[in-house]
Amino acid sequence: MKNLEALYGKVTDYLKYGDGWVRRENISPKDIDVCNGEATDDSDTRTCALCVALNRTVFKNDNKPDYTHPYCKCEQIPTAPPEPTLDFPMRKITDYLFVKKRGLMYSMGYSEEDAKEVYQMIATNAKEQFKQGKYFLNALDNHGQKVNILLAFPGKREKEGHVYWIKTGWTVYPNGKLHQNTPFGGWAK
Amino acid sequence: MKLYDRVRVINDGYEGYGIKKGDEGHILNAEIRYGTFCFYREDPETLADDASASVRIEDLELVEDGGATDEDILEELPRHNPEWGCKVIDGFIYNLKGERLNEYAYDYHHRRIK
Repeated sequence: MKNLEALYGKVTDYLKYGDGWVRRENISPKDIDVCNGEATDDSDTRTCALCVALNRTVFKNDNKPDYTHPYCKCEQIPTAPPEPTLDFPMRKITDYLFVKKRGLMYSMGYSEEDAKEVYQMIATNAKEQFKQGKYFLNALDNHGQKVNILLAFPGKREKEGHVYWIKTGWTVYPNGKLHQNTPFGGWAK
Repeated sequence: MKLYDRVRVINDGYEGYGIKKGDEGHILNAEIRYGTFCFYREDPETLADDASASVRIEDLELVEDGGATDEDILEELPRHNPEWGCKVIDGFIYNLKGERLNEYAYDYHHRRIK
């Protein structure tokens, strides 16, 4: 019965909003950004932690988190495609990717001197892929809705001509902001 | 123990997240929340960060120092706020102002009253 209700909700949403973008909103002033990355219940507006975590996030209507519950106050508001912004420090590349996963980067022909280029490639591609709705929903918890974005990495130097597909892990923050979790969540199969 | 350090999970309790006792990985968020670090398990073969969980500090042991400086940590802290607990040294949680945040060594859940 619950599955049937969920399916009905999906079909109704699709008929209403098609494959456009929707912004999930509730009456709480809190969201995952306001909560510094860990959503908590808002007792003033009686909003649960997961609805706070999703408050003001923007997703494609046909690829959005399903989370709902009885008396949920969240609304899906049709909106323009987001202009994604990133919370992605350069040090994730210089101090993590090229230190902890140096061998992996070498195997694709990249070395430390290419850090800026790798950063730009990940940043630009992630924004572009998200904007096109090409992301994969992952877990939703009080740290937010996680998504994977697949990126094509062209091989460099002796690996030129190869293309490597990698998964990068992000959390969706309000208004199209993406917070980077890991620059290498695995190879895309 | 701090951001980018390589650490090992030394207790059970995270199987639901795909993380087993003995798994190694990294701390990828700078801040300590309720006595936990955000741990990413690394697949030993593919090097993929393929599972994550908030792991209690006492369930982690340091494998290799990641060399993150205070500047690196500050950049990763929510709102770049130096008051967040972010380093564990000899059983004590410290913030970037050098303040000790737990009262007793190795008791990470008993906050110090200022």
